[in-house]
Amino acid sequence: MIEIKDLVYEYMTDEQENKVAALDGVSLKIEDGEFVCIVGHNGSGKSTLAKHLNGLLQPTSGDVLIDNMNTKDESKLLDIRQKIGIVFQNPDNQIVTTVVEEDVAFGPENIGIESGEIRRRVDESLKLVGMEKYAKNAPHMLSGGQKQRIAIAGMLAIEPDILVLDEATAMLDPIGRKEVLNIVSELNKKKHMTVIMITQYMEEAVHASRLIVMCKGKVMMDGETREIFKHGAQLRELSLDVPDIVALRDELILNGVKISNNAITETELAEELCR
Amino acid sequence: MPIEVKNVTHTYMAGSSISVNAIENINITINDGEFLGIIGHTGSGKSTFIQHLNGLVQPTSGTITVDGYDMRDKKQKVLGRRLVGMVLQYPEYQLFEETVYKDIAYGPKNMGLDEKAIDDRVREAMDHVGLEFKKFADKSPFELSGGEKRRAAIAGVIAMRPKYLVLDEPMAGLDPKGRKNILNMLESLRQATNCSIIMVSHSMDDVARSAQRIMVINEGKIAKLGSPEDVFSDAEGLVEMGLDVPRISALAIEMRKRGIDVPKNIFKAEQMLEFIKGIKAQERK
Amino acid sequence: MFKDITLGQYYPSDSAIHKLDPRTKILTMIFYIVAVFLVNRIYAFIFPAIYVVSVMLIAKIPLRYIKNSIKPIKWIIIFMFILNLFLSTNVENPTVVFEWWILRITHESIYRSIYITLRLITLVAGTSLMTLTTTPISLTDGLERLLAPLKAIKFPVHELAMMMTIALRFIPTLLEEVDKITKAQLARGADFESGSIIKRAKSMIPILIPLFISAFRRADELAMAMESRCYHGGEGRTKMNVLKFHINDLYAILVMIGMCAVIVVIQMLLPIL
Repeated sequence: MIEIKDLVYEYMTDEQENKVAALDGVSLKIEDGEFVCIVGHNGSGKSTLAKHLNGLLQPTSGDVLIDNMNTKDESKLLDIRQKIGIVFQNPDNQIVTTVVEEDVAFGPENIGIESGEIRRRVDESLKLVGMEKYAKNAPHMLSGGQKQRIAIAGMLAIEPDILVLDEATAMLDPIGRKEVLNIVSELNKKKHMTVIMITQYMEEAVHASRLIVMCKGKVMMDGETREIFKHGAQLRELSLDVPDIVALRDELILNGVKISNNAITETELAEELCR
Repeated sequence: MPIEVKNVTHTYMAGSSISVNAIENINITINDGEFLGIIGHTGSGKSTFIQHLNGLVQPTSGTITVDGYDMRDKKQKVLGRRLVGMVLQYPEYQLFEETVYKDIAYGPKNMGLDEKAIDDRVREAMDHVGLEFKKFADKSPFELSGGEKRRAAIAGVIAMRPKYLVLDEPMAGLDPKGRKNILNMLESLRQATNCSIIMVSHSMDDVARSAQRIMVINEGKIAKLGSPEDVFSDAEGLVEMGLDVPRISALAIEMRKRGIDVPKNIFKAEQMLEFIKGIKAQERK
Repeated sequence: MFKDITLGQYYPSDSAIHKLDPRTKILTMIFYIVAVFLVNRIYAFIFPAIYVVSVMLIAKIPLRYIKNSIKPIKWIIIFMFILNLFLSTNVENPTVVFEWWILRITHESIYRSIYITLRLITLVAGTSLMTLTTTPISLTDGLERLLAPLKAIKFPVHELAMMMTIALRFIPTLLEEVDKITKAQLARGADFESGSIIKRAKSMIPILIPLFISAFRRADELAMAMESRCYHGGEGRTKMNVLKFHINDLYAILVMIGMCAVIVVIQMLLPIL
């Protein structure tokens, strides 16, 4: 379980000695097995929040607790990082070695797992992301989506309870994005892994059951994805858009077409319209 | 005068046993002032193709002429290249000068223009991309936000006053607000200067919104070329090619699966709204 | 394009030589260098030559790779040959073959030139066997293991190996990046080819600055990704692929020691040339 209490993170801008609050009093609780999506513009603080979850950044004030371990406690950091894996934006900058399987082994090697067990975890992780065929390949010859799958496998090999995607789909093409989204959805459903997906694309939120909207370092909205999408006007005020399908749904209702305001994907909307 | 691409093939590692055709037998005329969208998945050859347009990559066979300049000829290429501005992927990574002003001036300076002309162009380019001169000219490009950096980099190309502006995924990695900014900027630039815009994008919705003509590249060949209506009328075909379709087309596919006969040419929200209103009105009767 | 560049010159194959432990290959290479330096008669170069050719045959590497490995140092070899030709030997009463002004070629200097040239060629051909049959990454691994005892004197063995690994990983990425930035600046009318050397060096600035900035950004992001994956230095670290000596490794080392012995003995028995 993740507990964030009154988290504030300030940093200095170089020129003036002004302090800027990237996170301004964030409090959240995320239960085991949830699939949460955090959406916000650039500079909304969502990536800064991700980096607090495993102690890469330390709060100016407030606390971040992972299974009751505080990220401020340096002796607990290694344990926290085994519980929570983060996949970052640029697929090129998180692969460490020149062979795919050796890269996946990097995490377990760091925590001193015995070699036979590492082998088992590497094979299993590569299978989970569907990259077992590429085990001996050189990472720089893979596509962006494939590289991100390797990065996810590298995290899975540490066997964390929580997987965080910090804008991990931003640099991918639509196919790569779909591959990554499908994999994390599966992990959430079948392995009951907690998934926190940080993104700027509203469309990606439809995969998550809970949606958190951030703006200027604050949590503006937090609730069931379907419910949040019923508040299109409020989202637009934060200059965020609902997905095209939801916008169309609302237009239809405004124009007197009798459908419920539940549908958020094209399949669901098509179902509604056929009733 | 247009850009004419005739029978262009580009082969990687030509002559060796592992030669691969990156693009094959491409024919297209890019007209003055048009907005051409290019779609295709990663590795389809679209990036290789656009790099031919200003001679960064030479065809293995076939010809490319820009306003009559043969891009295979060393001397003519220099003249042709000045007409074609090229914005590669993540262009902010090419910024290098101390100030935004100097960076934008780099292109015009290489063209051998005098101070006055350079100054005019820098101001004009910054205006086009919506970077306020007073506020940004003397800033270091590395202090800007992601979206601002992107716009400064694009301004560096616009300052060369290209007749054809080629952009490889100019919105990649930006947030929705940033994406909209860039798209609007391109459209107003086209209207103000009557330049052609050739834009590669992964986002079908963006292409559907702006392009007058769309070229679909699949496995190095032109799979489709025509108006957005033409191209998106075969949404199922695009899906088969492993491409995304506009969300509204995706909805149309789902509705067809459920027995609603959605006309082929619907891919925009307004069209879909009218259509559904129509059928619902009929149902009531 | 740039993606096809492989560092060193690894030749992939599934031979017994390729499968040797990287530590064995490093050790045999050291023995090989010793063997070459033990040679002090020209005819004895036949032993390293036979060794190189037979290893290449067992490793299924085409023999033309010997030529390829020597090519980059072609000019050094020619230079050494000519230099030694004219350098005086410290033999009394040398047999002069050719003399003009201060230049003098003697029988002895010709002999020495040939000797030095052969030594250079056998050295380079033999040591390139190692890079031909071992991936850079397993070489790094082997080095880390071999140097492990140095940890006792606080030598940063693990850190060094990690740095080499990361460098190997990022060389192709950065080369690709150079290609991209070069194209972008060319499109802005950059000219890298004409003008004086100074002008040309200056014209590289628009490539170098973005490259450095990007390299620093990558380093920063990589450090974060590594920390997130529980990296905390070499302490308590295990390996998935544990290096193990096999019987073949023993044979390889015995062959090398044998060769050294043969060279010494034969030269003692046959003191000709």
